Amino acid sequence: MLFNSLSFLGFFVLVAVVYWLLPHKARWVWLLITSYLFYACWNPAYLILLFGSSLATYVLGLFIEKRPAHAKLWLVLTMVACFGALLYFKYADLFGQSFNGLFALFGIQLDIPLFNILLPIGISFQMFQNVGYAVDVYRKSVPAEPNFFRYALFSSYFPQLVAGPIERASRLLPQLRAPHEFTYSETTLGLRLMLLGFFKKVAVADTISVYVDAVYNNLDSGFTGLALVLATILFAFQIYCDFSGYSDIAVGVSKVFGINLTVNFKSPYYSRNIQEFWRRWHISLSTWFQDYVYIPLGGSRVKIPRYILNLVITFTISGLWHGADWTFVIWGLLHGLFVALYVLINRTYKKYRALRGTSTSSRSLASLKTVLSVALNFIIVDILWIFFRCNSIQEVGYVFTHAFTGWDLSLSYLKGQLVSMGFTYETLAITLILLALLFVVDKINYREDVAVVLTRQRTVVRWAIYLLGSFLVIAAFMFTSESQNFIYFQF
Amino acid sequence: MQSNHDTEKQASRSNNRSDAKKLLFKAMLFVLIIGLPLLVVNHAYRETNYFRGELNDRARLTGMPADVSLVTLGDSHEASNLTFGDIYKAEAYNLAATSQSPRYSYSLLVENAERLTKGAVVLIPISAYTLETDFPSFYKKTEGMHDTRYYPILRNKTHLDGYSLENDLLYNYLPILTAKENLVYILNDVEWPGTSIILSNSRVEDIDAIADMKASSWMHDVMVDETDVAYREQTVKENLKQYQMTIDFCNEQGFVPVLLISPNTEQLIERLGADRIARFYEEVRTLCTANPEVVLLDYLKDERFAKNLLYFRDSDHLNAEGARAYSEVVLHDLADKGIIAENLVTHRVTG
Repeated sequence: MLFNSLSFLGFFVLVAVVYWLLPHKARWVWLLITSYLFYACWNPAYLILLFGSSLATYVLGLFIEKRPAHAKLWLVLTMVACFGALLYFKYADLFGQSFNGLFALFGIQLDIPLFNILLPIGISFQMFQNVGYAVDVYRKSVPAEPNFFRYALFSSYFPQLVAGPIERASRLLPQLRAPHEFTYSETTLGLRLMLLGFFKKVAVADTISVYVDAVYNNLDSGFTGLALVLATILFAFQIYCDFSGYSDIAVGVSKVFGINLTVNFKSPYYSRNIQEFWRRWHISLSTWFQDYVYIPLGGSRVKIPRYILNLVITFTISGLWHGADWTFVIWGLLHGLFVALYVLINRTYKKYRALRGTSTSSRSLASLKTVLSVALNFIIVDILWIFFRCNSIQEVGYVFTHAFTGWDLSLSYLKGQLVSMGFTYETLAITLILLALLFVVDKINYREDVAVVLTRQRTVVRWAIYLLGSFLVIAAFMFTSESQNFIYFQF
Repeated sequence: MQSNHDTEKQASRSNNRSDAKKLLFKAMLFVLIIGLPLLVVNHAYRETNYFRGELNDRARLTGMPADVSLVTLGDSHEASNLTFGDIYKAEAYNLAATSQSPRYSYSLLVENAERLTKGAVVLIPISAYTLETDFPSFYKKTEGMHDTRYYPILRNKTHLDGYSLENDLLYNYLPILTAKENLVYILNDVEWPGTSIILSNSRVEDIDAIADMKASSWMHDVMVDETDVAYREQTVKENLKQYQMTIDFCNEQGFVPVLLISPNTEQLIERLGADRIARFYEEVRTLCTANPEVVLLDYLKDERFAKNLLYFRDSDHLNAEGARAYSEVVLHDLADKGIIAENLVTHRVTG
């Protein structure tokens, strides 16, 4: 059941109404039942995996707390169980294929069989949340949850089950225990966030995806120059709206139940550097890696070479987390290298400024500097998205070698390239309007939650925005018809 | 103290209740403002000639009259190739549709069986393209554009592959949300001519390019990869099972099943390759051996069509003239084999 489907809307209304009609004590049980139902809509067989991983983490979490002498062993066992499942379901074929290919280079026929396993949806998110819980119990930053079913809800809570945000036990578990009162302001805030999420996903991401797919799914048709560059730029907005749209809906849905989830995106394309980008993009994953990988490796409190290595390792693993393909690994590695490069340049620059003394620049110069930094950062991030979007290294090679060929400044070239992507005058205008709206929303969101800003507007303005947003979503849904899957579900 | 606490609790509950009422009222108002225009547009769309016209599969495949004695199943080939209307004296009907799988042909036959006369002839087209296509995965690839159309057509939900309640509601009651580019017909409606299913001719000199394109598209995007032998064999087995079900159903109901292989241009046949064609005939033979009573009409390489490009609108679909000639040939052959009465055919093909 996709968030952007009518089935989900019906499901959500039913769950929310029953939730608030039930007495406090029964509400979390209702959420547990509906979470399992929600997951069963994809593949009931994988409920066993969901239940099994919850049970294993719950039991091992108790062992970590109750038998501190062997806490490390129980923690390792939890990691083996969670990452083992992840390795089996997600990475077995990648490693099999890679070893087969590697040995074939030396003329050895290895023939490791490939499993072609259907990836359980959201497995990476679930396993990371479970491991995070076990580590937190081990570090004594949260007590082990004594009630299995409440823990089962923590690891299967439907708004964030399939694509995050990855929640920490210290944040989510107490909210699942606490009684919640229905409040008009929180509920409407949640509904506003849901509308924003639908706008991003259905109106922007799904509309743009048509033109991105027309190019990237047909690279063998010989796309070059402007079409490749435009598709790459559009993909940056597609993936952002796709994933942040999902997150907004997840946070909004949960808010309606009185449960606050981590805000996962904060206008990332307005970042002035790549380090800031990662503080604004997929925040729950970035902080997970920071707390459970980067800091245990030594973080930044080590010598420079080790610091750089820590960054690169963390980002490379993050790349692998995203997908079982070497393109994702390279994507992560390159992000690590760019962050490391930025850190080095920034340190040197700060030292230089300290020596030279601070100079105040004019407001307009500072604005220009910000605009240029944002643009440069977007270009870097967007170029790296090519690795994310392409299905193979060969495709990446094709894009890089053909994006700068065939350029022509004539109007007919521009028109030809747009037509080859599937644009008409009308659809081009619609796309540009949607992107402009996105820029405005994100500009507001950069400083303050746009859903909160809306609260302060006059009723007429608020209702006009709700209705316009809803009509845009419905119109976009009419043109796409089928509910389009979320890109991050594959992870 | 206790009393104060209770009063606070009561006040909070009362606040919550009034908050809930306020939200409910606003939500209903919001749904009304959004829903009413949507229902109006939905109604306008349902009233368009497009929506009610014959080119819309929904209208055509649900509109079969009673007492039909000759029915055609199959895909776009049969939908455009067979037009019995004015040359068959009894009632004939075409239940073929673009990219229709044998499974859906079977379902349509089952659901329309009561409108067929006892002893009605059922033309069951078979082709290399159909046999070697994994339809569920093909439909998935085309984002359900081919299988979702059956929601308003088939009454029995078990006939719908991967049934979803959402699609059922959308396609039956809110078709506006599935209209895509057809929305424009609300603003600019068209009158579909009776024979609109027959499109205009391609230019004869383009036939090689068309055949290249069609063969390539079939072999790469539609049919299963022939080098993956296990997958191909499984796909063929699955499709043959559907054909067998159709034949069995005909036998049970007292209908006369006739297997039909439609004509292609020799240019396309050549591009499909001798091996694929030989394999196809082998598979057809399996079906015929299992059902010796079933007549097979094979026009694939029939020179009256395969070599006559003026009869085709592309490499594999006949144009209006070709369809008329082909329909007459089929009727004539059915009469010759005693499957239909000779006096039901009004025209004869000469030469």
